[in-house]
Amino acid sequence: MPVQKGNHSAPKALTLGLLAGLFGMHGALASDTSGTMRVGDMHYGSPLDPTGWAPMLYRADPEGTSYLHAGMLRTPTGALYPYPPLPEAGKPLGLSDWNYAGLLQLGYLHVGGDRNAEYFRQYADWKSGAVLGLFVLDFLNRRTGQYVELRGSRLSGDDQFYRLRVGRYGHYRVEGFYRDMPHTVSTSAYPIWNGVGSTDLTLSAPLVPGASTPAQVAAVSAATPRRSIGMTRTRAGLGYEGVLYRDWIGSASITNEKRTGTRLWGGSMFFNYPFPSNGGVLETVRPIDFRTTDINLSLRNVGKVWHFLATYNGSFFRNHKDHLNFQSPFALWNVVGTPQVADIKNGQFSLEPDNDYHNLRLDLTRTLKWNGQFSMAGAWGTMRQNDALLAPTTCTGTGGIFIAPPVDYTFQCANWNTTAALSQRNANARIDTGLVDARVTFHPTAAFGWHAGLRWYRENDKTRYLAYNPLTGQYGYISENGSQGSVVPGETGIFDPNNPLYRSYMVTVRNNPFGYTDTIFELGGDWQFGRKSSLGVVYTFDHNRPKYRERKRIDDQRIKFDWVSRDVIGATVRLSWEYARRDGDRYNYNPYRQFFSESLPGFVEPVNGLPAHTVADMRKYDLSDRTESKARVIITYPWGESATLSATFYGNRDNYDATIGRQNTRTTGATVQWDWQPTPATVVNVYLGAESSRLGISNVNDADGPDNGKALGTPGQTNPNLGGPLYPFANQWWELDRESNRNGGFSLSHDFGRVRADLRYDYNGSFGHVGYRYATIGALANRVPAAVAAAAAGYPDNKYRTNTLDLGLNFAINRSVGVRLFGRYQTGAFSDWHYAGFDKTLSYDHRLYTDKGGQLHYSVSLVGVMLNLKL
Amino acid sequence: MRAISLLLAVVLCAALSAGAMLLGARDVQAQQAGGNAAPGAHAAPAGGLSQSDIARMLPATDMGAGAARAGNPHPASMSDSLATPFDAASIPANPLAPNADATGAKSCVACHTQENVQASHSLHMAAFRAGAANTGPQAACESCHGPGSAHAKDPTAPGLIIGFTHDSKSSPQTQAGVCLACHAGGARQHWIGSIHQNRGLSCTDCHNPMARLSPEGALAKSSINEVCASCHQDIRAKFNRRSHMPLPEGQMACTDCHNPHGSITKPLLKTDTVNETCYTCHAEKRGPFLFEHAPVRQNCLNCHDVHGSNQQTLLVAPIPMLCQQCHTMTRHPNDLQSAANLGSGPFPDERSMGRGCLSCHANIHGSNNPSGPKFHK
Amino acid sequence: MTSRTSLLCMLLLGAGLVADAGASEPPHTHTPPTRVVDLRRLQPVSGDAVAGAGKATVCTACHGARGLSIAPEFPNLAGQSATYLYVQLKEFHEGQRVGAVMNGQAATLGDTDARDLASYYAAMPPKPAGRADAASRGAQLYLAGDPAKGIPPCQGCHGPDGAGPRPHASSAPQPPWAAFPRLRGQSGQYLAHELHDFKTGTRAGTSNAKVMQGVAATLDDEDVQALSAYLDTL
Repeated sequence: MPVQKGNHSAPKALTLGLLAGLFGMHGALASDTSGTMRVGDMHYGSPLDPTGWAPMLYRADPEGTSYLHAGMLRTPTGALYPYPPLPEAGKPLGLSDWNYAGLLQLGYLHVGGDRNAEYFRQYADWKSGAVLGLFVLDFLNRRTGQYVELRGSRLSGDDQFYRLRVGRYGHYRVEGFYRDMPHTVSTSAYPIWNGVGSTDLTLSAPLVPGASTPAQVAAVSAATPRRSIGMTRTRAGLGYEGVLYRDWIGSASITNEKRTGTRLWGGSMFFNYPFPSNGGVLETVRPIDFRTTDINLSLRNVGKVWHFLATYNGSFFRNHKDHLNFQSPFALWNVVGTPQVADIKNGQFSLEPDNDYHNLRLDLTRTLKWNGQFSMAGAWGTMRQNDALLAPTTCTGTGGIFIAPPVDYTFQCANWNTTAALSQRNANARIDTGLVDARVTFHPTAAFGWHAGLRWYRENDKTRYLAYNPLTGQYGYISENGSQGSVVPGETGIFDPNNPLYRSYMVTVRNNPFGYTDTIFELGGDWQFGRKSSLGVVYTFDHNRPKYRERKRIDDQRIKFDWVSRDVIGATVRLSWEYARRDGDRYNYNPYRQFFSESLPGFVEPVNGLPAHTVADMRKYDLSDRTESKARVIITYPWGESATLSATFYGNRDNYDATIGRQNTRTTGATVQWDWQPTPATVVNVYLGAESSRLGISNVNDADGPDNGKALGTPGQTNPNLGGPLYPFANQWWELDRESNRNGGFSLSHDFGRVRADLRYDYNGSFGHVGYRYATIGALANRVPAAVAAAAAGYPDNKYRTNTLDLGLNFAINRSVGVRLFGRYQTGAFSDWHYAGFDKTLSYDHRLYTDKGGQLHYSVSLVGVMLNLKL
Repeated sequence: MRAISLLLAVVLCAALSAGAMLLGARDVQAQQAGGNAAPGAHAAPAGGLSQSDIARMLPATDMGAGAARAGNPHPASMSDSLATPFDAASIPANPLAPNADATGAKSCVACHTQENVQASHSLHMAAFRAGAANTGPQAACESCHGPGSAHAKDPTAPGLIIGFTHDSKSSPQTQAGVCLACHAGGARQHWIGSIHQNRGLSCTDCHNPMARLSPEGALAKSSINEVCASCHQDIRAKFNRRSHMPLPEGQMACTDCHNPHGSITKPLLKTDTVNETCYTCHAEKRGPFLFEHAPVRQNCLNCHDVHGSNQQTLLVAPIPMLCQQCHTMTRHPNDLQSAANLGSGPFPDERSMGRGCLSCHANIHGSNNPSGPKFHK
Repeated sequence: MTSRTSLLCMLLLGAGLVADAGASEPPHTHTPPTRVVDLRRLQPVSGDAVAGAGKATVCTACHGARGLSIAPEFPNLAGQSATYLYVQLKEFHEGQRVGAVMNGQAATLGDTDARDLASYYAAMPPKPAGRADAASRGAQLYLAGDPAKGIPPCQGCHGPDGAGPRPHASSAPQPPWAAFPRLRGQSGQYLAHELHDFKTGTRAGTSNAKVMQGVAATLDDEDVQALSAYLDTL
């Protein structure tokens, strides 16, 4: 493709022009790009400069935007537009039509104090050293509208971005980018294993797999050096958007993301709590080694009457580490029977399988009479994976428990540690989705409009798996790699219709292909009252038909009123209130029989019947009857010529018709903010916010011990009802999570001429308290007097609080050189009862934790000096 | 009964829209044909020359592009000319000044000098100017503000040009109509009917094409997140919580997940469902898995408060409470955990310490292991 | 119209107009706003007209006893906006506006003097209406402007009858209307001279003058003559 006709580029600019003209074509209506259609990569910023371009916006034009009036104009809602920066036209590039402008901000950053504080570096890789604040180089051909834009920033090798855009206004754009984003999960992790980050976590001396004492484990844990757990996302992409032919605009992009690092993970070798010195509960570290390639294609045609849009999104996820093997240091012993025959010391997880995703969508919109529009979208999508399945266990030798002939609960690992033990070698998993969305809108008069919409969406899981072992003719699986069945006799996870020992065991034998079909109908009207106010009413009927769930039908009816006024004593007020009621068909507390061995031929009910799967009075919160009301007010008040006061008040109340399960949630909050820009040189902002929320649930402890009702395995345990022998009223309990959040702060920026100062303070405080009450101590996990006394004290409060002070001074040395000095001081406080006691030890009998949790207190400072150069 | 009422509603809706489409087809074309026709002769002012006379002395602001399309709703291609896409910008009709005529941008900037300086350095005008360089200054002030002659004579009379700011007398529909005349389709295809449209937002609530307030996106504030936070202050506050999406760190923007210009979902998500948005970055959770966890597959929001939460990993409630909302099964899930069971308590219990339930059920998003129906494999 | 004819139109019209019509590119060098008086927040000023009478003795030498000047090169002050007059005196005083005689005269004026004098002249009856030619080129320019040349109608800011702006009530940010002069019955020769000064940038010391600078840039000598003639007789 030749350079654009009539382009009088100087040789210097010719290269740019060539590059820019590469894809350039003439056409119509490529008004702008479709970036807001694709997920991700809309924003490139850094912890140092979250906007990603702050230095480009200084300093403000002292002339403002008009000689005709003072101050800045306001948005239709009433917020002030900020003062724009002093225009910089850029410098000419030779004698061509090309101009260029650039900016370089680089300098040195020093991090002091508790630089490893988890919440300080959660998504920021703060490091002492040289940093590239921002690099910008823009070229623009004023005549042809061709441009080249380069931007970059680097805080560290794990926290940086670079982006190049080449294009021509209204014709095309090509974009390439590379970015690294850090995510720190923990900065106080003490994993005892070798091979952290790999698929094999191994123990080294003095620890021996399956044969170490808690004391030995505790000693090793205490001696383990601290390390950080986290990952880096590395994304790179290339995209094109432009006019293809006549009015057809196309886009194509490919993005590749590599995610590498580690995350905290689990490791189960059966319970420890009911069996002192037995089982094993491990907090392990899993590897993250993902690659995702996304392909996005779109084609659209924008006519006067018809708008057409076709999009294809393909995503291809590859996990280079599809499993995690770990060695458990703890010894297991069978609670019944002798001698001990099993030696289970390893655990295994399957990690996420590779998957492919395709989604094809067509959107069609047509302008109609009465100021109307008809819009229709249809999509088909599929998610698939066919990874090779791992064997049901990795154990060797004999697992399980031998009591006395004929009571032999052992199994031969060789029959289960091979993929020949599977009914199928690959997952062959697939979910297909379908969507139809149609909407008509009419505004026959300025004062009245109405709309109707219909949405149909289906998710169909086509995965079918039967847990059948052709080697043994048994159904089921090996629970927790063999550990469960090697501690408790028979609880291996096996159902065998031909073996009296195993023919009454309830185990999962099929996967549950959950899915749903959701149909939403909506009808709404809106009325305009005068020029300043409007009222809208929308009725929504959401009809959901889930598959293989407790309900086959859930209907959510919703009415929403919204009122907008542009002049309530000068303010714009947006108010909305909605009320919703959800109900459905009969709630079947146990729809899962078909997925368990009880549905297979040859299943024999135990003597005392099958224990109730769950309490019949339970209502899962995504399916239960519910009433919901929500209200929200957003107020924007223009305060004089140069200030804006804005506020939000909001709340919601959800009540669930559930005796057991989630009972209610409520949130109430308010924010208020004051923005003031008296002159182009001064900007002030003050804000405050508060929110409180609560969530209440109820549950009932089953009679799992002689001290809180009839013990398991006794007659009557088949009764699922609350108040029955298995779920006595005496064992019911209630829990209430209350959280409150407070935040506030101010920012102040003033330009003194040679120096611009900015000062900012932010406070954030979150407090949580989980309270509980119970009918009797039968509800408690532990009912001995010491436990009851400790329970009465209640959970300690959770807390997360930060104070951050930022100060910056920008010195202008001349028109193109400046120096920025800045500092930040942050203190934080954190407590979470999940980590209570972890500061002393991570080892509790046969439990071993890796993460101590966030630092209880920290203070950290950043000091930096940057050189600003205008290129 | 419900099924019947739903069916009725659907049929009604379909019938209405089909009828309107049939009826509307001709009218729309006629309207659009008329919309660009030259204004009729108006009462001549005292001066003698009428405004339409003056208008005839001017270049047509859309260079005839509108006329070329008048008979044909599907615009003819401009690809055989030097015209840029911006030449297609016609002068919008201003319902509040039906008799005004175009005067040309030069008259506007005679008084609005500083506006011209600022706008000239905005992305919007740079794009317009590039069009002007080839074929003349078609797209200029009046392409957005409507014909300006009446305003020039009486600048403070309400509504004589299409305004986009707080005191504008032009309705939000008129304002959005101006922008959508060029910025139609694509990411804005579902603007009509979206919550932002319903709440009477105008394009200029979020954008300011008249000055370079942001280097990209012609925003009304210095960044996307600040624009959104001017109304959604409570959501911005959530990003300060213990676990949050990396917005305050500058790694993300609201528009990474949401399309403020409208979409087919209520929360303006870019994809068909909530989960598909999440899977875009968390592709490993897409699966499908051999063994699925119902609330996970149904909606990520069942357990996660995606903007920010006071719990680990954006959870809506502390573990084990989160899980015990549903898991009342016999044996270990339904015990009340208490302060006695913390690491600092007399009876430490794996169900409430550290990762709690997830210590064993680590594959809570689904397991692909044949021994993973309980997600601990 | 086919796309072919529209192309022809574009070429014909575009050829002559690319350079100057439309939103013309402003100069790239941003002139520093040194000494420019920002009138955008100016409130209407008032003073003591009676006291002003006592201070006006020297003024009458040129501007006449009734505020109507003795020669056409001097402006008529009778009935002029007090705020406008005050601003001019301040500008002469501080040097934003250059006039050999007036700079000297205003040098010794204090703020109160300027207010009093402004009020004094503002209170005088303006020059009686003349017999302006409504069909003249000047009337055309004043009332409707000339879009082909990018001349905006003067009446927008100076009022349909030249008696000053008459803004509609609005909550929008407003120009300092009181500082906009009345042109009715002004000396044509004076107006022509001032338009020339605006155009050349000689008179550019206030934010209002910045606006007039842009307007005057669209006027050629004939337009200035036509406008001055019209206003002289209005």
